[in-house]
Amino acid sequence: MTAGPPENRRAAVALQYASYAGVAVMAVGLVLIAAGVGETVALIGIGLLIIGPVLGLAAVLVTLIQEKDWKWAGTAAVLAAVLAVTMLLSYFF
Amino acid sequence: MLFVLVLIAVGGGIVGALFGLGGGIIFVPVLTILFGLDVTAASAASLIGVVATSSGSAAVYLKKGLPSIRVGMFLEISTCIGAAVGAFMAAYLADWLLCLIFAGVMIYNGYIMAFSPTGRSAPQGGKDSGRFTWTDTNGTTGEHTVDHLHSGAAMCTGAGALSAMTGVGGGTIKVPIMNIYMHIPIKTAAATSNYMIGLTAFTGAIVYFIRGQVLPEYAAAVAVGAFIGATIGTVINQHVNARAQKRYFSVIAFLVAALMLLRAGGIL
Repeated sequence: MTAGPPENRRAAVALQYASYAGVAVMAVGLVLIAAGVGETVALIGIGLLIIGPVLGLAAVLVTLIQEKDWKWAGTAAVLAAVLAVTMLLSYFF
Repeated sequence: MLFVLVLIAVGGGIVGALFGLGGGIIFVPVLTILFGLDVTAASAASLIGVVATSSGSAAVYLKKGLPSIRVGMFLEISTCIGAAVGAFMAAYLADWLLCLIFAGVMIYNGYIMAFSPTGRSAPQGGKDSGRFTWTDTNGTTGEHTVDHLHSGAAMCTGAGALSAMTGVGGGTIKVPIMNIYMHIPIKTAAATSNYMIGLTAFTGAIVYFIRGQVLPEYAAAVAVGAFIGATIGTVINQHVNARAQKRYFSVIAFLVAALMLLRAGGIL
């Protein structure tokens, strides 16, 4: 059972799945790099891992909307927008 | 050598989980000094390791209710803006300057944590305060007052910029801000920081990732080790006294500052 506010559980689940998947793929990728096969698998694992916090934030946003906590859902949405703008800026510049 | 890096990263993950840090204070010096990476490449790999530390420990702490996601999200808005600016600036700053900035931040934080009077003062309430829910270390869930919300958020902008420029998750700056300035208990501050640094590190890491500046073998080695270490660290954290945590934090901060000063001076 998760203690604290309801958004904790969903954020925890999202973080866990993304991090386990990313780390597992990266571990395979490291073995392949050591074997001289290539870096692609490691890069995929890195991508899976670093997307985890964003998935956690998305889970929090959905939970807050379902709870009709509009103030904090708005805060989560603003944070998601900041992250999205940053990604776009890095892509175009 | 990659296996050695994984082992070192395990230690970084343990330290990160214990002190609300991402482990970057260990990853960056190790990658630059021991493995000879330039600071930009080390920062990129370190930030990915920070995401791993954050994800590994935050998931555990979240289930226990220790962090305040709402405080974290609020502070994280300004932190991420700072991180985005810092990531762009890092490409234009000299290696030695980045090491110097890093060392300066570590000295400051070590001093604050070592010599803050009696630790956290009791929350004062007031105009810039708010009420948030979290679970204490004794397992009690309840509402608590947090002071200086907006000014604390402003200070976190700098934490975000330094995070992206130096490859650390910003926890070394944010934990003292939350504990000493915003009057949040050290374990709650550390757990909240663990949650926040994942988002901060993501903002910096994604810039490096999209630009192709990530060295996959180093980043993956750091991340795998950090994740394992963070998982171990969350177990150890249950048995560490809060006052001792602050003392150990300052020792680590001063040690790392010394190493980075040597690096900035070209000695290491």
